[in-house]
Amino acid sequence: MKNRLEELRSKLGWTQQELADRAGVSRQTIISLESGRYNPSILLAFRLARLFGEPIESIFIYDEEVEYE
Amino acid sequence: MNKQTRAYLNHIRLGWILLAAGALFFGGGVLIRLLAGGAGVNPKWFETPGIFLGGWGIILLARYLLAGANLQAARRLAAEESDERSRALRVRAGNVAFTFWIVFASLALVGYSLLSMGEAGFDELWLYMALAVILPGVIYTFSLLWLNTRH
Repeated sequence: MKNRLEELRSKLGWTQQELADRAGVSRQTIISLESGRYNPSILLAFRLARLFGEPIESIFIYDEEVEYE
Repeated sequence: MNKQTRAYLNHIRLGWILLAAGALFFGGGVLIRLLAGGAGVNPKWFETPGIFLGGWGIILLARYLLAGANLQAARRLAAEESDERSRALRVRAGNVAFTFWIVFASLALVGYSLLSMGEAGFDELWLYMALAVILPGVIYTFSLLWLNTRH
């Protein structure tokens, strides 16, 4: 699953640690999310979407072909 | 009080409880050694868990009380503890350890049985080894059943 976390975070001028503090997770989780190594739970996805004021599907892009490869 | 502050305070409370339990166990062991001269009861049965529990408590208290001096650091520590990725990684690491343990214990049991040319049956070591294979499996199965009813 692709995501626009890095892009949105940079737009707001937040560091990875700032985003982690706001979302209540570790900085390592933000690093893993941004690099696409980790997919968030639905709760964390909602929390991140609220932080950025965007709908979930505009932040996390589900690519069915890639997921089922 | 938010979730992270509550988690932070719970860890400090747990640290004090462990330290107190450790002191009680260790003190009990020392008392048995001094008063009863260890007659009938091995004081190490109390002193060893006392050191373990007390050490665990001290580590928790040192970690959280030191972080507590800085609110931001305390929040980050609590966030790291409840972090969903860290939890998922701990679960996976636990699964790997469990699989490794079952394989290792089973091989050891089979090896011991083979080495004793089938004579090992109900000697103490064989029973402990069999228990080391069966017990984790039983706990795993019942945990799965219990978790299935809760989630």
